[in-house]
Amino acid sequence: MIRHKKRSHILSFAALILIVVLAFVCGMGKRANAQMQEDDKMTFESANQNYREGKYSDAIRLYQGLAEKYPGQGVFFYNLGNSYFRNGALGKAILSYERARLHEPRDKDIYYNLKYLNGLLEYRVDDKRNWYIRTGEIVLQRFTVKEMGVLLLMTYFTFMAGNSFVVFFLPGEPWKWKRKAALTLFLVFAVLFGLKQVEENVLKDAIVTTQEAEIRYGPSAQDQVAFRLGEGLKVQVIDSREKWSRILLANRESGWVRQSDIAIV
Amino acid sequence: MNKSSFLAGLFCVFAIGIPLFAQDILVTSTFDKRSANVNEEIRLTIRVTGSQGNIQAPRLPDFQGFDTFYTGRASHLTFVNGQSSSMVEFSYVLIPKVAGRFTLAPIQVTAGGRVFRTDAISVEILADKGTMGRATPEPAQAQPSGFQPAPGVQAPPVQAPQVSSQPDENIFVQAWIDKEAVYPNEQVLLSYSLYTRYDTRYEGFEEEPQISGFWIEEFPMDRNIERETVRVNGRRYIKADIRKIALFPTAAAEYTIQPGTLKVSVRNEPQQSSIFDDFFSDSFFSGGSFFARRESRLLRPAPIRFTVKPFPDEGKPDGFTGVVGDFRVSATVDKQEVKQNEPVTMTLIIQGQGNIETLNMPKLPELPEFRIYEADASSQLFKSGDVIGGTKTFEVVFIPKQAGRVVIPKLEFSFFNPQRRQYVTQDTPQFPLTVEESTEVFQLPSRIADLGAYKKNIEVEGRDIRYINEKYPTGVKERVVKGLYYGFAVSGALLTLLYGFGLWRHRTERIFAKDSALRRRKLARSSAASSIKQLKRLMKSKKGTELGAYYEGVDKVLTQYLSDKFNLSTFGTARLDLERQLEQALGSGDSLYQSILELYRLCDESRFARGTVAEEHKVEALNILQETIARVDKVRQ
Repeated sequence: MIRHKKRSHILSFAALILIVVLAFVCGMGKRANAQMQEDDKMTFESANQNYREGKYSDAIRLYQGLAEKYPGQGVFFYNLGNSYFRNGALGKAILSYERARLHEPRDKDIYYNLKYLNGLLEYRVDDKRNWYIRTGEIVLQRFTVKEMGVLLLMTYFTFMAGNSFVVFFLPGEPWKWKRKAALTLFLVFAVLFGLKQVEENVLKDAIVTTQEAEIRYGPSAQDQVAFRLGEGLKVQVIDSREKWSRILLANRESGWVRQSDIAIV
Repeated sequence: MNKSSFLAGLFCVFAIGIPLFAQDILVTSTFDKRSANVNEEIRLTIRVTGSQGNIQAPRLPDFQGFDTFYTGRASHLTFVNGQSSSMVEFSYVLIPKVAGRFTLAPIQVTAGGRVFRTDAISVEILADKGTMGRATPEPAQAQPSGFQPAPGVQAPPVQAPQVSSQPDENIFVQAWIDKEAVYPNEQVLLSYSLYTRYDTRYEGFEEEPQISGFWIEEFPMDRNIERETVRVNGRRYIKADIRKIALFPTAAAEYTIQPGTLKVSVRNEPQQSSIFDDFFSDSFFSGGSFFARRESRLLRPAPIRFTVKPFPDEGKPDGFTGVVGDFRVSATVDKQEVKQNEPVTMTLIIQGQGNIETLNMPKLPELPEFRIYEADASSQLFKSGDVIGGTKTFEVVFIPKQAGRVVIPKLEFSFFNPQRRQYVTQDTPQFPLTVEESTEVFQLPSRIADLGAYKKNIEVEGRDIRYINEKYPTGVKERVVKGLYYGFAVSGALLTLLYGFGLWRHRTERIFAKDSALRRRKLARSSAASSIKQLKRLMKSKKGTELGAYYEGVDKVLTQYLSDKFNLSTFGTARLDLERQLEQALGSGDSLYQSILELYRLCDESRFARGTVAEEHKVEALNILQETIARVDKVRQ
């Protein structure tokens, strides 16, 4: 009888947790719905109309405004990328697509356009990184930071729920494969989440936005030019000084570039 | 069957049971009959299916007891579900010369850069009326490499050959071409003529000619090789053309052909001129007279050089694809009045002299009013004098999409005529079609679907970026992700607390299980606290009967609490024991100790002298009880 009472208490607690999760989901929905203003929708329609009519500069201005207002919406960046491309700004177009990809990491149109534009670039960089780094990057690029966070928290939730169940209903039960698997999964996602954080916040991607950028051996104009990069090429920023950034290419070449020549994704 | 034997069986099926099948190429050989009389024709067909490109006619081994003749090739190309399949047949006629049962040894075929061998097949040769009585095989000079007598049949006597490649003016071979300068894809006839003054037997090529950069067609030879007596440098020779190969050069360049090496066997002494005509008619190329001692010879003709000129630019038609020869084009349609979505088959025939195998279908113009399927193509090769020619047939299915009058336009076929040295363009007729309106929905005709019209491949004509996304974002996905993120974060935190509590509780239970006195001491306060709640309810009651119950309760709670704290028996504990424990814990002079004694006195008074305890003492009793619990809890943790 007492045991039954305990169990009902635990179940009530579990129900409470579920209610908390659902409440957050619904609560966020309502809050976000309110954010989507009707006039922004009109602006979006107007930008689309400008694009259809070939007024790409106007479309860029409107999409840019929306993208700044809603930086988490990939569609504005995607359309902005299309408008830049039509306007002849290849580097900015690629930059916009890369930004769109951060928020819509599995959108096939973004990937298609990125691939197409990369094919138009004057310069090419051979990817000499190890296969596991390339594979890891492909995997990480398919998820946003928040999605990775949700996956991590889900695995943590599962792991802790299992532990709680055991400690209340099966006290003294030894660790079995289910709990071990849950822990392993949690650790894997923790590592992936950590890598994603590093990718987004430490090794920042950037795009060359000038027609030709000089990459030097040091962070000053007096340092010798190491090589040149064309507009639209993707680099990784690994260090920064005043007005200069140190970049790393996929072919393992490295150098310093003026910050005005690149734009962080 | 265990696993290993199954695998072994599987290996045998693939490695032994189907020896001729590799990738998609299959080579088979068949006789048109399995028994025949001496001198009766037997047709041998070697079929190669699934191979693309040029396949040279297989050279048959030297079949003792048979005369062999190559009679030509036929090829067929079919499209099945978007895939083309080809089949080439090489035909031979075999004339048996002796009776017996023979097994045809595997024939070697080179296709797709790989060597295939046919299965061995048997044939029984019966003595006919004309040869009855001389069915014994003629003695052979060398080990037969093609036909091998079946068991029971007496093998001909064998003599080891003595091969000599020393120059001998009494026998030589000349390889020659009929033209020294040609255009690409124009036929060049490579001929081999044997000149001999010996009793000679031709035994085939020891080394095949090295001919790269050519499309090659083995020239079908006549059954009876013509021989003639010629004079070379004042000496009489018997000359015989033993092999002809039609070569079609694929590109303009200077070419040198290494003609290979022939093998012949000769009688040791040259014949006297007076008997020339007699002995050749008996033994040459027929495996005939074997009575004398024979010697094998290798004959190597001189290399041949010639030039392939580029096509002239003048007058070159737009649709010219490199076809050379002299051709005629004709076309027919199976009907000219059709219903909408009903197929019309156009049969286009190109025939003439030239490399018929490499001909392609004339290019069809864009015809949006039709669905078009190139359904079938077949070719038949034949010899016309010293020129290779043939017929190639294409079948194209036109399916009109809309009703009305539509036209299958003329198709242009251009080729270069090397004799006239000019380009020729021939047209097929136009075929006007009357298309009756029909409600039938388009379906791929079963003939095409079954027999293999191919479906068209989608071809990307240009590349561009994909269009903008015109759908305003609803934000649902982001909201859900955000909600899940915070929901799981909060839930995770709550679960962590729950788990922590569970761990603490589990640990406490474990300790309590080992020490029950500790359990009583630790839980005494919470147990007393819950009882005090009931006492408070009784205290507020105005009923006289409940006053006794109240003090009885106070007594019980106090006794229970003190028993738990001092680990005394609840039921057997004497008041005196409790007082002693309290005195030790609090001291006899402690005011609380005195108050507890007073409280017990009140409880006893209430129990034994009902109604004498005043109402106002109820609150005081409860206060003493609570103060006792607080004090003792500090003293006895």
